Amino acid sequence: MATASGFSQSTDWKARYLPLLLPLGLLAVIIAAWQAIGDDSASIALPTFMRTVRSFYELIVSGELPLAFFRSNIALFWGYLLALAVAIPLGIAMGSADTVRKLVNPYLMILISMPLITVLPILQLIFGLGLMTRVVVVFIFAIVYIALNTCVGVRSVPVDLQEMSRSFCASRRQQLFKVVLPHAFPAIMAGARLGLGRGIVGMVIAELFLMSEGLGSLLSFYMTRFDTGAVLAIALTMVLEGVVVISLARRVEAALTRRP
Amino acid sequence: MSVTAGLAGFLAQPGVGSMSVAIENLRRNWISVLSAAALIAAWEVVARIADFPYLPPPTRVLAALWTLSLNGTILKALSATLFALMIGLGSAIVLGIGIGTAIGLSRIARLTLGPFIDALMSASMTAFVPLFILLFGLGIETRIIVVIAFAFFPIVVNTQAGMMAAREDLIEMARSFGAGRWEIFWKVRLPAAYDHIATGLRMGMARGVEGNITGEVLIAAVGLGALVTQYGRAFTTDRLFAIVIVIIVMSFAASRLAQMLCGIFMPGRR
Amino acid sequence: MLDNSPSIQFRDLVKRYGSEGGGSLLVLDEINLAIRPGEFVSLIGPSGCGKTTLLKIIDGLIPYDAGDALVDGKPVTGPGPERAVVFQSFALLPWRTVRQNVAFGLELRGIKGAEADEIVDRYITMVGLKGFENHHPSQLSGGMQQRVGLARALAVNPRILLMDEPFGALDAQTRNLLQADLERIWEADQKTVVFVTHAMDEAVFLSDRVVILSPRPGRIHEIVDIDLPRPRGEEIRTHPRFVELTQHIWDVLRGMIVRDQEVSA
Repeated sequence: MATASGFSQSTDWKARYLPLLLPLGLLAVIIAAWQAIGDDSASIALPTFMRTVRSFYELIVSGELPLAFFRSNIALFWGYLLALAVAIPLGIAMGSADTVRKLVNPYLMILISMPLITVLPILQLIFGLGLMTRVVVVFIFAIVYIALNTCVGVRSVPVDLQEMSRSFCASRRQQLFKVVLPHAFPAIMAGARLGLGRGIVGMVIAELFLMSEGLGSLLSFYMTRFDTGAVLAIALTMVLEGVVVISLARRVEAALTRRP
Repeated sequence: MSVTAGLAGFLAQPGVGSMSVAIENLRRNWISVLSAAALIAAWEVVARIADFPYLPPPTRVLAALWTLSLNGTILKALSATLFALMIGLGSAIVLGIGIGTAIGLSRIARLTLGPFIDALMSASMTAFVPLFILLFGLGIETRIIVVIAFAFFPIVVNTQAGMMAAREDLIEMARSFGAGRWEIFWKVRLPAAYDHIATGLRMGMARGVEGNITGEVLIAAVGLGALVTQYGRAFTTDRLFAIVIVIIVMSFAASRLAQMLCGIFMPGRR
Repeated sequence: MLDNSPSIQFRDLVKRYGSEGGGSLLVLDEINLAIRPGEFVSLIGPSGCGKTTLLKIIDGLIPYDAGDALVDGKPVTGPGPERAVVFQSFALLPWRTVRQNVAFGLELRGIKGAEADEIVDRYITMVGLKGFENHHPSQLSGGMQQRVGLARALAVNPRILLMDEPFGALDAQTRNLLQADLERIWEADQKTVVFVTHAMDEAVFLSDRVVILSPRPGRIHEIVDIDLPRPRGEEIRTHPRFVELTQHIWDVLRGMIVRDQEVSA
């Protein structure tokens, strides 16, 4: 996937420091503008940067934010784990057997191309407002990319490697564990990372729709009080979590799939 | 095969296909079709027997779909949804391609804006919806802003990648024939970027639709998303499922449309 | 070993293209060939003559449609421990080191630990890769990678070695060096070898017999006895009989290719 930041290799000081200075400079400008535009007096207006920081601080110190954060992420944890446990074997099965792939593919295609928030009311009816629903939401959001990428990885094993392992009389099980899976590993990792990203999106959507237990309920609480500072702080927490987690996931993926 | 290539293969379904292509697809994928039909049949039987409150049999869903179409509910909601979607997407495309081009061509712009765009690209825009609601209210402006927020980033990122993908040797060649900066842009850089821009547009439209519905569900005022919330709260699951079907069809139609438009405006892409 | 019953035998072997789905294009047309144990036989011919197909049939990697393919008197039903293949594309597992790649076949048979290490070391030394045990294929040249492929095949101690244009992807100098190495290694225990190649000089240098196949459909056109003395070093390449045999094979092949072009023109 394309990224927008450039990277330069020359040892010129400009090249070395500009990539850092320019964005930081812009960040400073944004914060300054934010502070200036922000309006803390009126209730429904963009809060200033300082006000947001203060809300942030208060929420953390009071323990509300950490607790809500923890509650929300339990759903992410279990939902994602479940998604890995189901989608990776599913992807392997899809990659190994054409019949399975043709059977499962249509449903994955539907899931990938529809706004998944639409299934939330149905899930809410079935599972209620609690942790179960949020886990299921994360699960559904995450499985698609994990399964698809795993399938692609498994299907992409080069023909000569397959033939070679057959010529050495490898059993199907040996072929799977010694050739197919090691080959598919980078694709599976990529799928796991993409699935994690989608899982986080699912967590956020579940929070905002159900507004039941974690960050979502905290957000709704402060929305009813028109505390824009707190609302922004909580929203930013959700956004930042996603950015940080994905960036970490990218590093982990790169480290694990590095080949000499 | 790279992961993205594989996924592109999955997602790049044959475009505006003729009838014969459709029939050929049907013949090749009869297993999928059969399994889908079997599932629907099983659903019908199980739902009628067990009478779950939240799982209406397909026949009742279709009946609800019929009713809602007839009394104009769907039409009203669909037009509201599509209106916000089109304006939002249009703006996102203009902004996205414009800024993407600027970033692609200017190193300073790229270094400055790049990290922010990368960060926001992978950010979950849904989290900003409550904030948008607080700041801009429950009206159509909010819905349009939500669509733009979702659709903008894939378009920018991919346009920028496309601008940077132009081959140096082709640019040199054009310069040797006396082409000026503007001509190089129109005749070399832009066509080379078509593929990437098309990818960005496809992703942007998909995200835009997702943002559109998500926003409508959370704002719960007008549009298909609002109906989703409304029928969900009222436990009228047959109507809920009917609307979900409409949304799925709309999403598919939108992605097909995106592919078709890309084919028209950017000919010769893979 | 005086047992002269054929190691590999084809009787009226027929293979059709896409026979898994009932195709009709004839790839191999009634092949009859007997290869004695310890014999080094090359299969040579223009593209489309089915030489690689024949090799894969011996290894049981693809099925055949009529006739018999026998190894040690028994019909071929699939790959077996007495046969091993060396591939043109090397087919090394990129995530494994040289040592782990060579150990692959042994690992599949459950041979691990010190016993496997000893075998692996022996063959790595034999192919001249001592010191590179912990390198990955991407760090090796083409010639070195193929040596790994050869060591891997030899490590499982097959009676029959099947080589599918093993030096085809290498440059001329590396090819000559590897040919000499292969000849030297083969002299040590004289396995039965079936060697598919495009290059006449390679076939003459290495083989006891050269089977020339004609294309579309694949048929045996001629079998040439290579009556050059063994062991063969670099000097044999300028031997008059070597030049004569190579020229003869080239004449036959050239005739086939020209005729092929005339037919399709």
